[in-house]
Amino acid sequence: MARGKQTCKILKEIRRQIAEANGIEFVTSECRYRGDCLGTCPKCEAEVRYLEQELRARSIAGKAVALAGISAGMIFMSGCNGASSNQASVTLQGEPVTPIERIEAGDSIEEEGELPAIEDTFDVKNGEIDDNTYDKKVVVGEIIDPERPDKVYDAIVDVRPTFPGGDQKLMEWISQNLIYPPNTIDAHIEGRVIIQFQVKADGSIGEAQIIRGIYQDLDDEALRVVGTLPKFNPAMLDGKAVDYLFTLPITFRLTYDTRETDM
Amino acid sequence: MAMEPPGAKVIGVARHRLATDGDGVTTLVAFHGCPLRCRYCLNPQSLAGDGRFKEYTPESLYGETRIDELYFLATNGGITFGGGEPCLRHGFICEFRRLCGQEWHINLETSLNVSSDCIVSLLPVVNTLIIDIKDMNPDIYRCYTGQSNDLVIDNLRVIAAFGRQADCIIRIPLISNYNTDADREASRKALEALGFTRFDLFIYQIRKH
Repeated sequence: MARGKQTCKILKEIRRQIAEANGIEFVTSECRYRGDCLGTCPKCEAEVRYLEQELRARSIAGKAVALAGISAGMIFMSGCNGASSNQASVTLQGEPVTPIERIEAGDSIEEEGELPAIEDTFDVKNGEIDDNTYDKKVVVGEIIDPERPDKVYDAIVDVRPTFPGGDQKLMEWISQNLIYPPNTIDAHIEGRVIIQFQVKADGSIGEAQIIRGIYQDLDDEALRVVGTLPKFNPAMLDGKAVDYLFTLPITFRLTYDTRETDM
Repeated sequence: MAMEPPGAKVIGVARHRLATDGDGVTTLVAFHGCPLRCRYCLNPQSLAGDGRFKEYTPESLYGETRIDELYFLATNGGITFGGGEPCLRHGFICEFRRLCGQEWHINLETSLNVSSDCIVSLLPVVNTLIIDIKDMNPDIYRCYTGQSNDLVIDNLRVIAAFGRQADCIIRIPLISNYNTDADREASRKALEALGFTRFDLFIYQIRKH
C-alpha cells in the first residue's frame, strides 16, 4: 500500500465512527489519489472541520455528543510485554562505526504537519520523528492541475527526473562533492538536511530551498552542492518534459571515532 | 529546581502516529536538548545547535496541535512528548496540560535522567511514561550514555512511591556491543523488584550501509 494510505484509511474510519455515533450525515468519497500521501490532505481535514461544526451545533442544541474513546478499539498501543511492533521492521537508529566522516544522500523525508512529503529514497536510516520510511523510491505531493500548463510538478508524472546513471550515481556524486564544514565537526553537529530543488524541463537545476535544515553551515553546504549538480534527465508527462520539484535528503553524520576524540 | 524559559525549541512535530509511543492517535512533539550522549542516538538533531528549530510556547503548541483534537478524543490519544529529553521541559508540559485540559492523553518518552523535582512535577499531568531505561547496570549505562544512572534509579523510586508503576512502559533494549540478553534480564528483575510490570523488550537495530 502506498505510503500514508493506511493512515488515511484509519483516520477516515474514525471520522465515520464519530459521525455514526452522533447521527451526523457523513458522505465521503474514495480517495483516487494513487501515490503516497501524508495520511491526511485538505479534503480529509475539511471532513474533520465539518464533524467539529456538526458536533458543536449538537452541543449548543443541548444534544448529547458521543466522542470520548468511541474509536479507541481501532488502535491499540503496541509495545507492552513483548517486542514493539512499530520497531520491528524499521531502522531505529545508529549505524556501524566507520573510520571517516560520512555524508550521505538519500534518507527519506519525514512527515510533519502539512508539509508535502516528496521524496526520493536511496537508503533508509531514520530517526523517531520520521518513522515512516520505506525501501523504495516514492514521489509524493499534490494532485496535478492540468489547467496549469506552467505548473512545476511535484507529484504524478509519467517519468520522474533522473540523475545520469541513476539514483546510486546521484548519491555517489553528492557524497564525493559535499564537504563537511570543519566547524560543525568540532561542534559535533550532525543531522539531515532536506533540500528541494527544481529540475527544469531542460534538465538543468533551478531554484533550491531548504525544506528542513539542521544548522546554517550544513544547510549552506547542501545548497552549494545541489547548485553544482549536472543536468538531470527531466520529468516527463504525456510525452513532454516538464519542470519538477525534486526533494533530496542529505545526511551529515560524524563517525564514532570522530565523536570519541572530543568526548 | 532551575527555572526554565517559557518557550521551548522543538525539533519536530509529527501528527497522526497510530499506535506508536502512546495509545490511539498521537502527535509526537520532540524537544531539543538531552543530558545524555547515547552512542546510537535516535534523534541526534536534538543535540545539534538549536538555532534552526522552531520555538514554541505552550500556547502556540496547543494552538497547532488541537487541529487533531477530534482524533485524540475519539481514540484516547493525545500528545507524546519526546526528544531529546522532555522532562527538561516540565514547566512547559505542565502549562500545556492546563491548556489542553484533562481529556487529552499526555505521554512522555523519557530516559528519567533528570532531577527528581522534574518527575514529581510531571507525574500529576501525564498519563503514561515510556521509559528508555537503556540498562540498569551502572557501568553499561555510563558506557553507552556517558552519564551515571543514579538519577534514573532515584526517579524509578519516586514513581514507585507515587504508585504509578502501572502507568509506565519500560523499554529494555538490546544494545549492540553494550549489553546482552543476560543484562536485559537482570535489568528486568531489578525493575520488577521496584514494582514495574510493563516492559518493552526490543533491539536497537543498526543498519549497515
